[in-house]
Amino acid sequence: MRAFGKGYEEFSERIKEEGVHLIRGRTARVEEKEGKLLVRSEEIYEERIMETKVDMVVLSVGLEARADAPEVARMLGIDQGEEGWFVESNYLTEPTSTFSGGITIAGVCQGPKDIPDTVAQGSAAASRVLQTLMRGKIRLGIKDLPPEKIIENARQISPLKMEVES
Amino acid sequence: MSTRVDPNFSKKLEAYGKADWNECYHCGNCSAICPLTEDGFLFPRKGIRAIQMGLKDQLAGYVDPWLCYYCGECTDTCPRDANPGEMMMTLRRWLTAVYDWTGLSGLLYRSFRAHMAFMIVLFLGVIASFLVFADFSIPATSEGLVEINAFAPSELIHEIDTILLLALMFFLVTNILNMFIKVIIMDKSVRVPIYLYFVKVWEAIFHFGTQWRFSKCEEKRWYWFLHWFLMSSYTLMFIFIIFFLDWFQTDVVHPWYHPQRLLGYYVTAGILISTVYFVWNRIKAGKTIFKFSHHSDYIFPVLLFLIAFTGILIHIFRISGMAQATYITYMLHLAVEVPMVTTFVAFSKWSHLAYRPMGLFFANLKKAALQKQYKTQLAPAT
Repeated sequence: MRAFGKGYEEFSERIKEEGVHLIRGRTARVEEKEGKLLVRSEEIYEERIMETKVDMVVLSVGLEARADAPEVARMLGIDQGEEGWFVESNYLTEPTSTFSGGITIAGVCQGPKDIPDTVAQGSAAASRVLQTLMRGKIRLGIKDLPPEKIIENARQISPLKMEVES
Repeated sequence: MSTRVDPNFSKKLEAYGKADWNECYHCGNCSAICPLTEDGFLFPRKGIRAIQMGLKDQLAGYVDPWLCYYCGECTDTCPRDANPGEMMMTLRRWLTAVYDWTGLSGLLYRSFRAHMAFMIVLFLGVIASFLVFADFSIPATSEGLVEINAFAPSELIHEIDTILLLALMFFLVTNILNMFIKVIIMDKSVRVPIYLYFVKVWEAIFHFGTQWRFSKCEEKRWYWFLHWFLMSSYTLMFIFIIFFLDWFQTDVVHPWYHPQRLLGYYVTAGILISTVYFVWNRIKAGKTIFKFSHHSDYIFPVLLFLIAFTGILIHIFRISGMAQATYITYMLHLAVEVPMVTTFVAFSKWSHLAYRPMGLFFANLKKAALQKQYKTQLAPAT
């Protein structure tokens, strides 16, 4: 079992030394027995069924997109993925931009992530906004282009003007 | 020891049911939720692992599918929708084909057309031989009795019956031997002492009679009962046909409380009720266990139903003294029975009746032998 990200591997090694037992396997069921909780799972590495008596079970819940995410997406004209997260225009080169020009996203609205990633993406989004402010123009997104008009010289059209028109 | 890997194995398995288990990321939820799995026989996750890696030879000696009764709990709780329950079902079909050295089983499972063609040929063959050998013109006797044994000579029927069943038993027994070689002999990690075979055989017989392990699958009591009802009815019928055909198929009409008639009613009720239940559920496809159906899952109960149904018709026609109708339904009864027995007993779904108790028997043998091995290995140290 390995940990993802810088420093996490060391972290998981440290807690193992400090007496935390890490077991690979999904908990299938939790039963109450003699005032204690019985956790049943498969220990994948040792290939056996484990039944562990514990005092407390902490459930780690999954994340899902906010219930009002579709409303926000409609308001800003940005897209949602299959699971409801907002879609960035390019995962590798444009991780904060959306298909609508001038709208940037950062944080868990785009997908589950931890604090350092959220902070980094927030900084990136802020700098993208600053770029726009300093240039006085908004970079066009794919959605801002008129669908059935061939633009011969894109620079002649003012992006700000287009924004107002649409 | 070298291990052979077959990268196309999951593609080959596709013909036996569902085959894509790449969804699985091995969380072990299915093994942990299973009420039947135990240490040493961890399923279904280990099977999925072997399929993903293409360990064909290891899977041929894999006894665990016969220990699973498919309650569907693993599929219901699988976080990845990988359907491990159907994997066990598919593996059972594949194992039946692996044990069968003639190769017919694989053909019947892989191709619906081949199965149907095989059965239609047998069906027509039986009807043709009746038309040639039997005499349809014999009327009912003066007391209003229809003598089936005069219409189709009972000695001849009995002889053909014996030959057919002996041939099928030969195939079934050799297949079981093949299974024994693959499961016990080829597994070098365990040596089974001879006396264990006698100790453990009673357990297998008990489970064959009661299917007690099946009832351990929670919330499936009703299903277990119907399955047991079908199994016991069919086994009784099978015993009658093999050993007591003279007693069972007579022209004497016994009073209703006679054991022969009561047993006949039990058998008919068991087959009719259970097959209707199973087919209806498969068409509805509501519960997890009925969601995916292989063609053998339909043909088998439908044929069983037809056999019981024609059996009832024969009974009614015979009592009411309608000679021609009795003869024709009797002919149809055998024309359905022969293809069912020929294609299913040794080569298809029916054979799980033999493989399940044998699988349990072999698993128990392995378990006891391993326990003994570990004890002798550990003894000097303690």
